[in-house]
Formats: sequence, structure tokens, C-alpha cells
Amino acid sequence: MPTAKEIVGKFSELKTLPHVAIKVGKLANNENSTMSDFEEIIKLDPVLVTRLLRLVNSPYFGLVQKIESISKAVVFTGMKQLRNLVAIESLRGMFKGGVEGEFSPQKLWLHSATVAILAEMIAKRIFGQEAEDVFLAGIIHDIGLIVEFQIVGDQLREACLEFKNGKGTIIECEQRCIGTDHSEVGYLLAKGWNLPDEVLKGIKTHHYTEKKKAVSSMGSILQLAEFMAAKMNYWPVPGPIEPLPADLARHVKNMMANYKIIIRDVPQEMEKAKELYAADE
Amino acid sequence: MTVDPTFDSIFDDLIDGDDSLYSFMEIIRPLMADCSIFLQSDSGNELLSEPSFVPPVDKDELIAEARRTDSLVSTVLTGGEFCYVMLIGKLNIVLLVVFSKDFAGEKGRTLFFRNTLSLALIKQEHAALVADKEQALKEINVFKQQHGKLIEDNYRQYNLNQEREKEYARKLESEIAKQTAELREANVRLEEISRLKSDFLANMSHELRTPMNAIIGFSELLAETKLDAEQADYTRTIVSSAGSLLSLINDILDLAKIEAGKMELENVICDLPEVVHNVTAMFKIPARDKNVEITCEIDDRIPRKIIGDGNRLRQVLINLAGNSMKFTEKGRIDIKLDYEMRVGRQIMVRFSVQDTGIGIPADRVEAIFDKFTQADGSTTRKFGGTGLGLAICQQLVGLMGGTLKVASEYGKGSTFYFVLPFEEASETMAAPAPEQAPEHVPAESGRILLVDDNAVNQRLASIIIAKLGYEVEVAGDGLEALELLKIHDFDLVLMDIQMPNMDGMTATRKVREIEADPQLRRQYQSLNSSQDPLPVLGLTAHVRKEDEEACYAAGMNGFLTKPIIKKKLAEILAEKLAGRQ
Amino acid sequence: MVDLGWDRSFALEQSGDDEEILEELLDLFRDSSASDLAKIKNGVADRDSVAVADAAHSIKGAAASLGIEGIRRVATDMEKNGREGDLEKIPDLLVKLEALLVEVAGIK
Repeated sequence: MPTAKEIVGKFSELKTLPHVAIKVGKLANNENSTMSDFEEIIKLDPVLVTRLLRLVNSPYFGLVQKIESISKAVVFTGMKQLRNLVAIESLRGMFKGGVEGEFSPQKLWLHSATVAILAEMIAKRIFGQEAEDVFLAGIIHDIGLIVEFQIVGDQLREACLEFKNGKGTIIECEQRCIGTDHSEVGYLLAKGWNLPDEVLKGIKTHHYTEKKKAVSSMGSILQLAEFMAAKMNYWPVPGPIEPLPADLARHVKNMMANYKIIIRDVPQEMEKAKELYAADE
Repeated sequence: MTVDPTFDSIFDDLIDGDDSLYSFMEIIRPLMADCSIFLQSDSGNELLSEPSFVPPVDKDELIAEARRTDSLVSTVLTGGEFCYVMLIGKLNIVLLVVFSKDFAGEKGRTLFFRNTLSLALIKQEHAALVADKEQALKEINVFKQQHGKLIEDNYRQYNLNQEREKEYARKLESEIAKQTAELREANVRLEEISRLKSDFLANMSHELRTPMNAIIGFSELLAETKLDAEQADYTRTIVSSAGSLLSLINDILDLAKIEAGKMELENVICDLPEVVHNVTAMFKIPARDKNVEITCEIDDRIPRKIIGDGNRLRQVLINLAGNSMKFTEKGRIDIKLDYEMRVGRQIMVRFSVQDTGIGIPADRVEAIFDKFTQADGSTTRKFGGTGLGLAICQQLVGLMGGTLKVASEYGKGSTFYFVLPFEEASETMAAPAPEQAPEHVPAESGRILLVDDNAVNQRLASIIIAKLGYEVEVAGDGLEALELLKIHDFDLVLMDIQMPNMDGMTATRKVREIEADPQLRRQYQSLNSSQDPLPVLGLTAHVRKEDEEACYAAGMNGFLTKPIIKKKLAEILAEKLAGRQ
Repeated sequence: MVDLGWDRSFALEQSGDDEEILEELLDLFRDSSASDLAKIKNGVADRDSVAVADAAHSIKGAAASLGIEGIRRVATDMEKNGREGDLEKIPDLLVKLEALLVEVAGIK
């Protein structure tokens, strides 16, 4: 059975993160980059520019002024945010495809977008974190499934079937049928794309882990968000919902009032983020 | 797609059903300290404030009724205690409260119950509001941090851009410095080349003229020895050819000088009428021989004296007139100076040389200014000439500030014309400085030839002239004068007009004619020593304008009225002799 | 009779303020004018107005140089007539001229 590395390797041959996204990633990490550098790179892809500007101007970002240029976008949202948006726009294309047996990339996109929104809300409102990277992590956390879908499609379908029939957690089923799981694969892929460490860790640990995660860690937040999304019928793969680990559950109980408010505001936030959900044209 | 979630729908298996009961009990119990409280959620969970106290009451029935009627149910218990039951719709909890029998009156109990309930609910909401506020504050905090980071980043970028600009400016400076250095170098090289050209021209000039002069000089000496007819013929040919060659060399060197930018024009006071008449006089005889009339006309409005290069101007006019002479078999040649206009301090003068010669075909008009070309190849054979003349004229006119143009009709004639700007020489200006001579020649010395047929005048004038410090010789008429010009080197001639044998005008014309012919010129000592024409002053008794013009037309450079006044003579001699070696 | 009209000071000035030179010039004048006078008489005889005019011109010039106004004037008239080809008045003018020349001859 192939290792995660092999799978990722094969996938990288077929598909890479568009080079714009990679360059932008490098720029965001570079002390000596300015908004004009950003603009130079991004405007090579006019479709991307349009998409980005539409995103930035959507109510989700709550900006008062209308942004007409990338350099202005950088000023108002910051480089990191823009990098994330570029990544998101670039990834969107990967989540194509209708319902195929037990796995639907399209559904996965909706799930990922929901998780991203929820995770951001939790990170900001409960833990007071600046949440751009959490958002990105939300979008990308299950990308491993896409990779598996492309490279070891049959095995994935088998794993999904088993999961649906209650033969264990999705992770366990994947391990059994494929030899690795989507959190490992996703981690390696994201690593290859030079995404921030926090994001990488989040992807790796967003399911049950042996080692205890801090409640405020990205992995925990993702897990909680995933749980909530699944309960809202935005599941990645149909099947039984994995319960929360004990300390996460305890945290929710202690913060009941807060979580009640979050849930109250979720529809509103999702409405604002309609732009994100928009199907790939 | 949208599923409106509720807290319970998501976290129901997380939370005990009891939690909501517990939290509500926490809130309401302190508010109703003297009472027994019983809560039941709609899922059947129950909570009792004082588990030991179980009043004899049929709870279920009361609760069912409260649920059913959704209003306050009150009853009296067997012990006389009062029991109130109500459904709290918001929480889906039924609240049962038992008051002791002496707890206020009916109204009081009801009021107390309702108010306490309201208070409890408010308190519960309050908890939610507090949570809301906490979240809002947390979000605000996050925004503040993000905002701070954005500003920092923008500041960082600002600094970067400043740096970049400075770097750019530095690069630009160094580029400019480099280019300036390169330009300077190029300049130095160009100056070097220019200097080399000058040296070359000077050298060539000298190198070419030296042997030429030897050829000419010795062939002339040869011509003066005893030769037989054949030898004399050959010698004449040599002399003539040498003359032509020298002419050609001079033309070439002139042209080279102009093209190297080394030609410098003089900026001295020059007498326009003198120049023009001089030129006309030169061609009077050849014109007459050919039966062609040559005239000159100067517009009244043109000032007499202007600042310019008289010699070069003369050169141009001689060239043009010479061409006209060459190519005109019959008719006339008119040299005209017209006053065009005044522009500021300058006067624009239009020079034109018009002839009724053979003309130039339209398609050859451009080409005639080219070096070495003539209107057509055959003209060289028929008319001679090197073809350099017009090229030189064009350049000289250009240097003087004009453009040489031609209007011509084949078979009818041609007009060469150009317009030059001149500044009028004011009265107060000094006479032209003498040419750079190794020895500065003072104006009060020179050899003067006095030509007059009257003994008294001869004597008188001689005395005066001698008194002024000049040397003087006397001739009785034009013929004698010419002979003396041959054998002596005079600097100036005072020519009486009215004389027997050959009068003054004729003599002067003759002098000019000789000057126009390089070969003849060489035979006259007085005409050989300088390129400039020999100054000839007329002595006339009459002072009318016609007389003046007649003098100039003959080629004279000026005139004096008789009787000679010492002061006037001194002035004019000084003027005309200045600068003559 | 006609006045000689001699401006002696002018003549002296022309001679460079030298009495000896003045004397010399006057001698020269006498000689040259005598010769010119003869030419005029011959010219009249030969009906050669040009010769008359030329000789008159010569006298005129010399007289003017020495400031002898009277002679100059007569000579001018003679020259004018001669130039116009008119010999009628010449004899009369000749008389005047000769008289004036005699006067000059007597100058010291």
C-alpha cells in the first residue's frame, strides 16, 4: 500500500498549487516585499484579480471602502490575508466534480467553507485570536481527501463505504483501506506548498489524536468546527459523526452561553460569506 | 442548503438535559428563599430545591394542567400551603412553587411569583448578554490587533519604498556621472580631431603653395629671359597653367577650411559701395570686350558702412559675376543691392547678380551647388572652371548668415541672390584695426602715387603729402601712372580725373582689370604685394552726386575735392592706408 | 576790371607756411598757366572746344589750389563754355584772364 509521501508525490505531478499562489506565499513571508510586488505577481492572472477583488469587497470582510486594486487590497487586509485568499481561490478549482459514489468533491468544498467560517468565529470570539490562518486551515483541512480521490480513488471509495456502515472513524477506515489517512496526506501536501506551520499542524491534528491538544490550538478549533458543521449537515463524507474529545466537550459546556451566541450568529455569517461558496465558474 | 441550527440541535448529546434545569435553579432559588421549588423540563427531568420536603400534592396533575392551560395554576394544599405552578415557555420548564400559609395575601403571593419569575428570566438573559458582550469585546480586540499589524506592515512597506527610491536615485546619479564622463572624453577626442584638422590644413596650405610659388615665380622669370617664339609659347602655357592650378588649390583649401569649420569671418567696418564698385570695375573691360553691359545699383536706404567681412563678400560677388561673365554672350549683368527690411539693429540687404546668359535647365539647378559639378558636362570643356566656385560661395554666404539661391530660365538667364543681415557701423566706431602684422604699420607712412597733369597741383600735393610723412611719386597721366605701378610698389594712388592721354577714370578701370587677372597682376609691383585692391582716390574739382558715383563706378575707393585740404587728405590717407602692409 | 581775389593766407597755408615754397608755387603757376593760355588761344583758332575746356580746367585747378579766386572763376566759365561747345564768349573771357595773369606775374 502506498505511503502518504508517494500519494502526495503522484498528486503533485498532476496538480500543483498555481505558481501565483506559491509566489504570493513567498512574498508574504518576505520582509522586503511591498504591495507593488504583490500587485505585479497577481495581475498576471486577471481572472484571479477579479475574483480576489470580489472576495475582498464582499460583506464578509466588512470593509467600508470599495477596493479596486490589489495594492489597495494589501493595504486594507494585509499580506497574510491576501495570501490566504489567493490560496483559497487557487484551491477552489480542485474541488470540482459531482457526486461520485460515496464521495463528492463539491460537497467537500461546501463543508470546508463552513468549517472555515465556524473555525474563524470560534478562534476570534472565544479565544481572541487573529484568525486568518485558521480560516485558511478550515478551507484546506480535508484536502487530503481530494488527493486520495485523485490518486487512490477506489480505495477511498471503499473506505467511505466502510465508514458509512459504521466500521470505525473515517481515519480508521482510511488507514485500513488506503494505508494512510487524509490528515497525513493533507499535511504533506500543504507542507510542499510552504503554507504556515500553524496551518500544517492544524491539518494534521484535526481528528482524534493520541496526544492531548490544547483547547485553543488550531487542531482543536478545527475539530470543534468540523463537529458543528457535520451536525449542520455539512459533512465531508456521510457517516456517523465523531464525538468530541472530553476536554473539548467540557470547554463547550463551560462556555455554553458563548457558544449559544455563536450558533445564533452562524446563519448571518454564512450569508455574508456567500461569495466564498459561489460555485466555480 | 441552509439549515438553521440551534444550540441544542448541535450540542444536545453533549449537554445533560439537567443542565438547563440546574442553571435555572441556580438563578431562581435565592430569589425564593422561603419557598420550596420544583422544576420539570419537557423531557421529564426533575429538580427539587429541598429534596426532603415533599408536600402532599399531586404534582403531575398540576403540572399537566399548567402545560395544558399555559397559565398560572394555583391551589391550596392540605396543610394550608399555597402552591403555584406555571410553564415557562421560553425554557420549556414548569415551575412549581410552594409558599407557607402565612406568606402574604393572595395578591401579594401572585405578584411575588410573577415578579420573581420575570427577574429570574432577566437574570438568565443577562448571562447571555454578558457572553455576547464578551464576544464583542474579544472581536474588537482582535480587530485592534489586526489593525495594529496592518499599520505596522504599511509602515514597513513605506520604509522599503523610501529605500528603493534612494537606491534608484543613487543609481541614476552614478549613471549620469558615468555618461557625463563619457561625453567629456568624447569631447576631448573631438577637440583633438579638430586640432589635427587645423594643423593639416595649415600644413597643406603651406606645402602646396610653396612649390606652386616657385613654379610660378621661376616661369615668370623664364618668360623675361631671351626666348625664341617656340620657347616663349611654351613658357606662356606653363605660366597660365600654373596660375590655374594655384587658383584651384586656393579654392580647394578654402572649401576645406570652411568644411572643417576653420573659416573665420572678419567683423570689421566695410564700405559696401566700395566693395561692389570694385567688383564691377574688375569686369568692366572684359564685359565691354564681349559686348555685355555690367552695372551695379545700390539702394539708397542701405547704409554706407556696415560691419562684416568685406573681403569674403567681394570674393562671393567676384565669383558670381565671374560666372555670369563666363556664361553670358550678350545682354547684361546687373549687380544689385536692395534694402529688404530692418530687424532690430540689423539691416537685411539683398544681393543679386542677374545675367541674360544661357541659363540653367530646371533639373540641374540643385546640382550646380554641388562640388565639382557644372550645369552639364559640356560646360567644363566650353567654359572652363573647376566647379568649386559655387560651392564655396554657398558656404561663405551661409557663414555670413544667408542662403545662396538661384532663379534661372534656360536660354533666358540666371539670377543668383542672397540676403544678409548687417549691423550699421556707427560714426563713433573706430576704423578697422590693422591686420595682424608682425610689425604694426603706422598709418602715417606709405608710398603714394600722385597722378595729375598740372605742375602746380603736382608740386602742391607733393608738398602736402610729404609733410604728412608719406613718400610720394608723380605721374602726369594715366599711362605714366600705369608704368610706375609696374615698377614701384605703391600703397595708394591719388588720381586726378581730368588728364590728357588717359584720364583718371580710365586708368582706374584699367587697374581694376589688371587686378582681376592673376597673371597680369603679377607684373605690377603695386598690385602684387597684397590680395586687396590698390586704394585709388579720385581728385575732382566737382562734388556732385554723379561725380561721386562715377568715381565709384570706375573702381575708385574714394575721392577728394580740389583744392586739396591738408586735414582732409591726412584723414583719408590714414583711413585707406590702415592695415595695408 | 576784375578783381584778382587772391587769398594769400590760404595760399601760404597750403604751402605749409613756407614763403619760399609759396614763391616756388607761384612761379610754377605762372609757367603752367602761360602754357595753358596758349592752348586756349590755339583751341579758339582751331575751333576745338574740348581743348579749350581742358586747358581752362587745368588753370582753374591750379588757381584754386593757390587761392586765386578771380582766375578760378574766369577759368570755370571758360571751361563750362568749352564743355558746351560754345566758343562765343571765350575771347571776352580770354581778355579777362590775360589781365589777371599779368597781375599774378607782378606778385612778389
